[in-house]
Amino acid sequence: MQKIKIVNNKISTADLAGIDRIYIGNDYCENDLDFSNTAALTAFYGGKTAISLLFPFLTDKSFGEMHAILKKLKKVSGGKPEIIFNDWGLFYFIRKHYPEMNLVMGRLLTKQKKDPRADVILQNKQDKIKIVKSDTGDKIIRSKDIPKQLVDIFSRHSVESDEFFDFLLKNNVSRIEIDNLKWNMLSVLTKKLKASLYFPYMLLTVTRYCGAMNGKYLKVCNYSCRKKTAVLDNGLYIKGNAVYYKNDVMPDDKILRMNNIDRIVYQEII
Amino acid sequence: MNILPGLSPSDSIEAFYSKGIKEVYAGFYDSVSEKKWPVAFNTINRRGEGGSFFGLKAFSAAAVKAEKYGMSVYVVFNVNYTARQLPWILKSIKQISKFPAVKGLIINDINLILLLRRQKYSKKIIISTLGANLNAYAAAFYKNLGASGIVLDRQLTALEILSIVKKFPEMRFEVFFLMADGCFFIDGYCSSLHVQETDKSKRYDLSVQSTLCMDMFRGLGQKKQANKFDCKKMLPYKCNICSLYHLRKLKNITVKIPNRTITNSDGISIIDSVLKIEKELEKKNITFEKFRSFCGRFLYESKNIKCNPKVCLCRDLYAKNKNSK
Ligand SMILES: [Zn+2]
Ligand SMILES: [Zn+2]
Repeated sequence: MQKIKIVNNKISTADLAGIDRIYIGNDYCENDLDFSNTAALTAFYGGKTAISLLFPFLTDKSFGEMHAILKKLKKVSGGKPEIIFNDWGLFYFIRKHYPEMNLVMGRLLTKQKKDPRADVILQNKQDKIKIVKSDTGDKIIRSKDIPKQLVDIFSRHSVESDEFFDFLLKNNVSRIEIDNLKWNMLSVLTKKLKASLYFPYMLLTVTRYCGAMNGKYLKVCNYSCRKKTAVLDNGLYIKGNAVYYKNDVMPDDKILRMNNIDRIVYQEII
Repeated sequence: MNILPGLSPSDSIEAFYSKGIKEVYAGFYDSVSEKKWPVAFNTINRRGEGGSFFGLKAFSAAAVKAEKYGMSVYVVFNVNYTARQLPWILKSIKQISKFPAVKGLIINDINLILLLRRQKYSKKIIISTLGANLNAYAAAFYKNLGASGIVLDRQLTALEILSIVKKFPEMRFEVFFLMADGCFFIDGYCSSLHVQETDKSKRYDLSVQSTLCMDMFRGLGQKKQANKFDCKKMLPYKCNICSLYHLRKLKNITVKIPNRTITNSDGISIIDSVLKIEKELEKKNITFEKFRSFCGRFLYESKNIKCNPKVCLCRDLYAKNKNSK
């Protein structure tokens, strides 16, 4: 099992023991991307670990510097560099201009259903009855039956078909990344496609309105992602423009094997 | 301006027609899908019960009537599916695509797009906002997969939209307008239960009472000042109307109205609002300044349209306008 650590733009020797690969970058916001230090980071980490670049959703402004970033990476990384894309535009850009690069489909694109609030429903432990008051008198509403097929689709990502496998493999994508669902994970991949599992936080969603996350609408972006993470009573973690949920129960070996998981990406957000 | 409102089963095609509407979008599900994957859990569509047409009979009635009025229908299958759902989706697409009024699909699942491409699907494919269409390369990616249109992400600014749309004059772009649009996250889905029933009493069935963003704001509110926090105020209501002054000049932009969660009369009143704005824009001596002050008055008078200029599409147009003075 490969161990991965996501690093920021600063060099650090802390906790590098046992780490096989470093991800430089992030998957939450283009405003917080900084690859100015890639050469130094690669020189520093490169002797001990492999290097990948990790990208979030992007707008056109991020493509302005993309050639410079990728050319630099190519130059410093020696072998074939690896890029984790969370934006189909970046995928298209790299296939067009850098077809030799190894690609990894990021966790925002594999489209798992992650809503932690679904847990009680999938276990069929939700409240079964509720009385709603209305002008015409009280109305009793019963909860829906939970078909086993519904539980099944919550347990799978949307990459699982020969058509999709062929498309990815033909386009030099040999790995997909997923989050650690609170419930069962049943997807089966072709042996040629590997999977990475993020641990212990699931990235539920991201926004460009990070300045609104504090309730004040200060600016559109106020780099709140560099400040403290808010831990809410309902179990959500708000870090800058991103919402996370913690699941620190590692799936058992059978599930890891079934999902072709051979990489764990450790991420700290606190 | 091409206006694209949603058509719910409770909407009147005649009323839409009388307002000059030529295209609508609508969802579909049936008893087979409902038995396995209830739409209340956002399994087939972003909308839950009441938002989409249930069964081929109901859909057929609407499609035939739409054809009579010369109206095009785009059918929405805009969540991501697992491989086991795809046979039902493909079969449904085959059924609904037989109606001449159906001109295309609004979809985003890559698996589904690949399968339709292999089957040489003959009608239009438009990529839904769940495709996270945030840049010109993403548009090129989807075009390359066979899409002829893109619903742009809600979080793009007017200048970003202009720059993307100008690069693809042959493609259709849909931009969300004129709703107190509470969607807070990129791709409008947040990989969560979306909980958007028309009949609010049915929400209980989910054991989840609100969208993820509402829960988030509520949680943040509790942290900051217990109970004294109005989470609704935090949603990024944006009208996007100021930017129409620039965007309407691009013929391949469609004004999309996300009205399928509200009642029939609201749908019509929102269409009326777009028509009022269009009329203002058709005035011969209209300038951006004049139009902006019209927008100010319009928002002041409007009951169902709100705007927060800090997140509205027009925000960078304002800045550009200021700098050029
Ligand atoms: Zn930010
Ligand atoms: Zn506005």
